[in-house]
Order: sequence, then C-alpha cells, then structure tokens
Amino acid sequence: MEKKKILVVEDDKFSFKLYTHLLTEAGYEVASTPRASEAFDLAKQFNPALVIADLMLQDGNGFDVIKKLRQTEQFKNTPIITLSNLGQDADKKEALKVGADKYFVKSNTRFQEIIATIEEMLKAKE
Amino acid sequence: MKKNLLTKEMQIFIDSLGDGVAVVNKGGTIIMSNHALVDMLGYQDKDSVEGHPILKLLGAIDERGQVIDKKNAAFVRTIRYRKQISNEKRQFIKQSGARFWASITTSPMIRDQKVIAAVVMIRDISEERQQEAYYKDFTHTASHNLRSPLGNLLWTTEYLLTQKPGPLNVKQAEFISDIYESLQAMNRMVNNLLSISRLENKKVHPNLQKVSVELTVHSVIKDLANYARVQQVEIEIKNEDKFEHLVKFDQDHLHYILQNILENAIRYSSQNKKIILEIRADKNDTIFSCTNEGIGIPKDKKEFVFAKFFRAKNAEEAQNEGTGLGMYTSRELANVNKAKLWFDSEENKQTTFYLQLKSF
Repeated sequence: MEKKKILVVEDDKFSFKLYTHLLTEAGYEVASTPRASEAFDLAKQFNPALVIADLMLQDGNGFDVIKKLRQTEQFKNTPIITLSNLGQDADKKEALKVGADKYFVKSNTRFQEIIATIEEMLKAKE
Repeated sequence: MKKNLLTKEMQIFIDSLGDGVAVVNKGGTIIMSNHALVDMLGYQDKDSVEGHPILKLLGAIDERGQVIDKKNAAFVRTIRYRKQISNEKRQFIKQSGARFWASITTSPMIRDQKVIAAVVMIRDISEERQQEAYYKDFTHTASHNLRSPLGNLLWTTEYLLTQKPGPLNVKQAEFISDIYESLQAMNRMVNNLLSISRLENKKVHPNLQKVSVELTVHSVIKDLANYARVQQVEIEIKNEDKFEHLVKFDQDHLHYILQNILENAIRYSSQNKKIILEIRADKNDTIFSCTNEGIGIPKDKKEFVFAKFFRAKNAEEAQNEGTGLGMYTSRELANVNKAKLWFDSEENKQTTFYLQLKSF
C-alpha cells in the first residue's frame, strides 16, 4: 500500500528531525522544509495528504503559509495541523481563521495524541 | 502668603523629604517647594519652580496619554472636594524636555475650615516602571522560548519510553521516567508563568458561560486519579446532589482552579486519608469546598498562601514538586471571574479551600 504523505513546515532543527522521525516510523512519507517561502512550492510538488505547520518561522509566519494553501484548489480540503509554542487564544483563533483544522501547543500535547489525531483526520478525509 | 504658610521648621522638614513637594494655591501657582522637587525636575534653584503655574511647569500627561488640564488636575479636585487624592500616575517633563513617570498624592491644606492650598507630593517611579515592564516582558519571552526545547524534550522522552527505538533496562526506564516527570513539572511551571504574565498584563478575558461544577469536578478527579492512587489518598464527593450546580465561569479557568486545589490537597494529604469535596448552593452563589487531612498551613504563613512563588517550609519538606505559582494564579483567575477563593487551615490537622462562584 502506498504510504500517505505528510508535509512538515518547521524551522527548529530538533523539532524538524523529531517530527520526521516519528512520522516516518508511524508509517508516513514525510517531506519537510524549514522555510515559509519554500512551503507552498514543496506542497504543490509533494501533494501531501496532511500538513503540519509551525507558526513562527525564520523567514515568515505559518499563518501566511496556511492561508496560501487554503486559497489553492489543490489544498482546499487538505487537513492542516498547527503545532506551535504560542498558547494564546488570539493565536489559536487566528490560525483556525486562516484555515488550520487543529491547533496544538506542542509542550502541552503528547506526540502519541498527535499521531492519533493525524490518523483520525486522514480517515475522516477518506 | 508664603511666609505665613509654613514655619521655618516645617520648611526644613519638607526639604528633608526624598519625594518632591509643591504647595499650590487655588490659582494653580506653586507657592512653595522643596529641594527634591527642584532636583527631580532638573532645575538649579527653587526660584525656577516657585511662582510658576504647576500645570505649565510639569506638563502633565496621564496614563492614557491625555494632557492634564485645570479641569482634571488632581490639585484642583483636592481643593474643590477637600479630599486627598492618592497615587495617580503621571508623566511629567523635566527642564531638559525629558519625560519621567511619577506617582502623585495631593492633600488639602485647611486653615479656619477653609481650603487655602493643596500639597502635592511627587514620587519619581521611572525606575519601578522600567523594572515592571522589563519583568513582564522577560517572563513572557522567556516562557515562550522555553516551550520549544521543552516540547522537544518531552516528546523525545515520551518516545524513548515507548521502547520503539530499542528496549530499556529497568534502571534506564526508571531514570527516563524521572526525567519525563521533571520535564512535565517544568512545563507546568512555564504554563503558570505564562498565565501570570498574561494576567498581570490584563490580557486574560474570561469567556463566561454556563458551566457545570459537577462535570468539571469529575473531569479533574479523572485527571488526578493516578496521582491520588500513588499518594494513597481517596477522593469523595459528599452528599452529591442529583442536579448539577451551574455557574457563570470560564470553563478552562474553573478546571485550572479546581485542579490546582485538588492537586494540592492530594500532595499535602497524609496517606490513607480521604479528601472530601462538597458542592452546595448558597443563595445566588455556589460554594465548592475541598478538605484534606495532612500537614496543613502554619499559622504564620497563612497570609502568604496566595503570594507569588510562596511555598511554606513544611510544604517544601513534605513534597518538592510544587511551583509556588498555582495558588497565586488560581486567586487571580478567581478574581477575573468574580469568584472568591479562600481557605481555613490548622497545622498538622486539616485544610479546607473554598471557591465561591456566581450561580447561573
């Protein structure tokens, strides 16, 4: 069976490595970029089934990445999860407003919960 | 008028004060001042200050950036209403044109039952303001920046504990579990600091809605069931009513406060004792209480329980995992939700925390 694809947009090196490893081990094919500017082109090319995005990136912000993806027909229904360190209601509201489906503060969420959420979202999409 | 106003001794007295003092007549002219005021404003002598209109000299702006005119000046209100006005914050201007933050208190000067002038005390609070701003910003930035590495460490540790990367021997598993618990404690601390920073910056706006105290209590008990088992204490809800008590509160805030109360009750309870919870109506309010038998709160420490970073010595000796922030945050959250939080305690016997909420 073909592996489902997940795109990770994250600029923290440790997180980047960790997500890639955990998701690969969970059975997904992962593509990742630390740059907001590359995220959209990579998404078009990779065509992920789900996107995980951080909100604060070195060369831009994740809100804009999510917004751009949502405005594109190809990603209109692609599940998008925001994994951030920002825990304020305003950030959460903003992320959901621009098109994220779920919002998690990483340090307050267990990774197994994220894996379970990903599975659920992909199942629902089918 | 100046000569009659103060005796020589009084003038010496006000000159010895560290805060700036100006005596202002009904027309708003400074008729007397002290050295501290002259220094504070950066002038050479009292003649540059006395005989000048106070409003023009100080160029006052209030906290919202509004220019203070005669209508809203504190000294005018003091003279008109014959009352003291305390600790209003202002930005004043120095001779050099630089602005500084000050706290002012004005009092009426009364002779033969008539208000003849106002005494204006001015305290330079620039440094305090700067420290306050620095502290608030520091807490916020530091906590946010801590979250990223903390999240990574928590996930990595959690992953190692799944033993997917390879089997752990008993010792390794034990130590990694200890690391995981410490990281969780650190994360709680960071979350608390962030809540506090937001509360102190008045950025917390409760989302008031209809909330069931019973449902929240049960959810908190569920979250803490493991902890209670480890600490060997039992949790009981006394006389649980068939109907729910509904209150007007922010759901997350209520969960936080109840979790904090119950977690403390478990932490400081003696083993094999019961923690008794009670929810009851009291006129238009609902009162939740939580009683434990344990180390209690020493009499001389009671006034500090809601202070930031406070942990009583007996609490530290009994358990080392508290942050000293939970009760402070809970009280602040109770306040923004217009609820009351207090306690009764007898050392080495029992403690009851009460939360009084507005019923829906």
